[in-house]
Amino acid sequence: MSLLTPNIKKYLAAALLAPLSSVPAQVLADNLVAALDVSDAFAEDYGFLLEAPVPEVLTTTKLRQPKSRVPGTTTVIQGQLIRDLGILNLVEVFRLVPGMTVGYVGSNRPVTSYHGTVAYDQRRLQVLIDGRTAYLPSLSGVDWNTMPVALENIERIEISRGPNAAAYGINAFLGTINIITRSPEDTQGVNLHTSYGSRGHKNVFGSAGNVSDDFGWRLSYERRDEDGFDFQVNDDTLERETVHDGYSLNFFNYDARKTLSSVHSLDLRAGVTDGIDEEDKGRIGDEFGAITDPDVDVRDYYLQARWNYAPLENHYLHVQASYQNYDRHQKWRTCPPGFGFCADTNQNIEESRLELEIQDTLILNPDLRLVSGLGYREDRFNSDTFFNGNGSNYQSRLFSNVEYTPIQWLTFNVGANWEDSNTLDNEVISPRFAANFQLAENQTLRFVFSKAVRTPDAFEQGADWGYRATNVEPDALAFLEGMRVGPVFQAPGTLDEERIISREISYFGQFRVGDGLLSTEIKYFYDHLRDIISGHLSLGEWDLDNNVALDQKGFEVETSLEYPDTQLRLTYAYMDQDGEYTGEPVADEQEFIDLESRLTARHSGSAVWVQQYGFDISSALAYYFVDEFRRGQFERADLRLVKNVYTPRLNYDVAVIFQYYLHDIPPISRNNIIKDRNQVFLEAGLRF
Amino acid sequence: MTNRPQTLTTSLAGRARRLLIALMSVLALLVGSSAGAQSLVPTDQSFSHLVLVAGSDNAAFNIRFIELLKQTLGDRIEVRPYTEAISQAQPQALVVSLGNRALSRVQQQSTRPPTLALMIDEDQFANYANRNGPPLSAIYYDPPLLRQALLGHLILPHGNQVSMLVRPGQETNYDQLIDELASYGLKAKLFTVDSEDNLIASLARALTYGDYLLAVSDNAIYNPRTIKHILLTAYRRNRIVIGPGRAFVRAGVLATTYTPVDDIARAASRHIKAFLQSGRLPPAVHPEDFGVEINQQVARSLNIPLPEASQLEAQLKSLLGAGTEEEAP
Repeated sequence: MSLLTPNIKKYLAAALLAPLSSVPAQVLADNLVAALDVSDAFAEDYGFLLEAPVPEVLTTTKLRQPKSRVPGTTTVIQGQLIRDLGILNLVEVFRLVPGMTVGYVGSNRPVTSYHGTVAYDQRRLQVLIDGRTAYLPSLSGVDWNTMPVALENIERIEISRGPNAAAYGINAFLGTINIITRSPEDTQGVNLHTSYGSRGHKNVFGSAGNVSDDFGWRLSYERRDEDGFDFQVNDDTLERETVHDGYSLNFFNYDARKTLSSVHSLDLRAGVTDGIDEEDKGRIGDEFGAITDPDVDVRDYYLQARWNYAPLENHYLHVQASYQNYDRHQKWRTCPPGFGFCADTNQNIEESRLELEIQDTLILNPDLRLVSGLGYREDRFNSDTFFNGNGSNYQSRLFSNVEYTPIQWLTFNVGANWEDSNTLDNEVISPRFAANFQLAENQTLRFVFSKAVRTPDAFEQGADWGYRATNVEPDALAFLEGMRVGPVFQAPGTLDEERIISREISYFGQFRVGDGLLSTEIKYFYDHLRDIISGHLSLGEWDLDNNVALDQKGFEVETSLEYPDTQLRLTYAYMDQDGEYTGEPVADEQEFIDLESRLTARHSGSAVWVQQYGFDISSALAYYFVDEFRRGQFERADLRLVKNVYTPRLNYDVAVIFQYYLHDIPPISRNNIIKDRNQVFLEAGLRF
Repeated sequence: MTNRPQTLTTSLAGRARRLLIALMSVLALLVGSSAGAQSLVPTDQSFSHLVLVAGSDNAAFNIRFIELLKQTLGDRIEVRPYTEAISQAQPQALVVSLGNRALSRVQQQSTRPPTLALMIDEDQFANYANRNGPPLSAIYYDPPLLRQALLGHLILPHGNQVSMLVRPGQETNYDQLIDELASYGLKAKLFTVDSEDNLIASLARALTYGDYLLAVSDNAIYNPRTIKHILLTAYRRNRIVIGPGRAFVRAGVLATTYTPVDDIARAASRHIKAFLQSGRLPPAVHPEDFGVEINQQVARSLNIPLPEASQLEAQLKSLLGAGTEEEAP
């Protein structure tokens, strides 16, 4: 038997396989497998599934992991569900995530958060689009209305619920949202979609793409129009009056993937956003005496490239670079009451972010996997009004996560992120430890401990805020031309980083219930948030400090039950928050706690029922609630009815969406008034 | 990849042994066939019990199959490699063809012999099935789509919408299947792939309808070059793929049913014996027995709880009703 040297064996195998090229490959491949058990025509691996996004959880550790091995609860919302439910704005998706709330703190400027803690913007979430950081560089808020991603292009959204600094560094403080768009390799053909309805909602989307052996691309265009809220409350008369807070935006996106060789590939993405985001002159502040609406002229763009290198099936890496530019021109005419002059002023700001990342994944064996990498980020901002010039922040980091499964029923994840930034006094290490116990087949119990920090953003720490007057009238006051007029504020720059320690016990289980599949995830959490920055952040009143401590505990449930023709999904979150003011003595300590709790709620959740009927008609009923925000409850019921037509060469659908608001009172800001509690939208789509 | 599908794990030593046996068999066959050439015309008593095997291009498989057939048929029936000369000399002798090319070769012979086609898809055989002349039948190699669809339903009990990619002009071939699926509570729709250029576009549309993709045995759509792309697209949309064959499970398809070669040999021997007794071949069939092959790693990746292959096989057999071979249309 030993006469055959390995080389001869190889030769024989090759000789046996050689005829494959000239005969129907599948039949012979099957023959060979069945008869000889020698290697068949296909690469005997799923290596290609590892680096590409299959529906495992990717976001939490940056390793692809099934839910049984992920160190922390992660909600995955499929793009299909978003479309089935008739969700019209990206931010509303997050009502489906346990523990997340969505609201409008300012005017038509949506905010979402996990575990609340919001003043005006949410600065404590990491938001990514295809791995590119997507919150604003200097103010750290998230501008959902101008987010350059079309709902039609979303493959899925992963929300890692809990601190995730171990993988993403500062700002992955409460959670991480990762929006994953469809691969240009999957979107061949033409996709057209439009929706039209209440409050001036108009959306037009079109994409075209093609796929060849080594190149896939997609070009998308989207136009979003909305009138915003119907009424605001006049600060003086307390009467309702119309509000100018819509938007009209154009988006162009290009996505491509080039396969360079069997081990190299290149992803390229680029996008341009252009349009107007309206702002009402009544909302900019009385003291301004604005006489024109301070609309924001939005001109953003981004470029992203990622080189993937997979020399071995158990070792691969990528290098990613992205550059984003946000150019916002906001100019208006103002006649400050009592000062006897009029002038133009602005809140122009240009921000940019350069991001570089190298990530390496090493699979020593299926039970020992390691991901590690380096990251560099440079945030630049230029605003005469907010910074009296320009500035920049730098951040370098090193991250790693080991997943180790010593025995079949136990998986450990140990991860950490080391970080240095000019916004930090000292270098910071953010760790995470997790143990996942496999209780039974398809049942997992996790214990997770993690720490994270958030550094004050550029504005909180370094604001140099004042308004410059131009085109001053009357001429007698021309000496004001080019000067900062009115109050000017310079931030002391003494803020420290915020800290969180998070503990989680969670359970994930899947069961077959008759013809159905029941999946459920329950999370218990107990988090300590310390040195939370709270206070007023306006020109007349600026008292930000690390002055609040919060203890949050509670539980969250996410359950889905899928039957033939029927899909049910339920989420519920209960959160108990204890707040303590820890700063310098003040008259109203509670106010500082409340200021950072605008999206905090004790109860929140959602219920979804998607039902298929004959003739490819289906309905989706969704109910969302928050009990309660500071001005009251939020409850809304949505119904979408759709007729789908599938033909061998073309699919199309027509749908109608009803939204019913159960309460008249705007739950967060009194200015966000909707005239009609019933809203109606029509939708149509075509794919070929 | 580190995790191999369960049933395919073979030790290197085992492989080497098999290869050696294969090599020795090739040599034996060469010697044997040259010896046979000297007495080309068989003796009278073996006349009605001669079966000629027209092999595929895969010599090792041919040898293995002839061995298997000899074992199942017993000593009284002589099994020999086919050559056109022998077949012309013995026009009554049944020819067993392995694969589409072998069948084509045999059917192009000037006087067509009675033929039993093996290792052939139902689709491929349809091109010959209605010819007049000597008896012609087949044991299909591709798994029947009804069985495949029901396997998908067992794996995804809540999935009752099935998508299929088909080539233009083939749509009506699936009418009966769609009716049969309806009796199991499954709805199916076809999406036409006009050319390779719109494969992914059709697939993307198919995935918006189907809870799973039922892969038909069509080499133009599912082949080693396209399968990776098809699977990635499906998995990114959280959809699974069933079939078309066993090799595809190794490439990352979630599951398929398949017919083990032993079962093919057994089914063939039943047809052969019937022919030797009556001079007529029973109709073309899918073999009654089958196995199920699953890819546990893919199931884990997709968060799909998957029973053992043997359990699925048993459930599927009871669902299909034991014992009846499905007759070809």
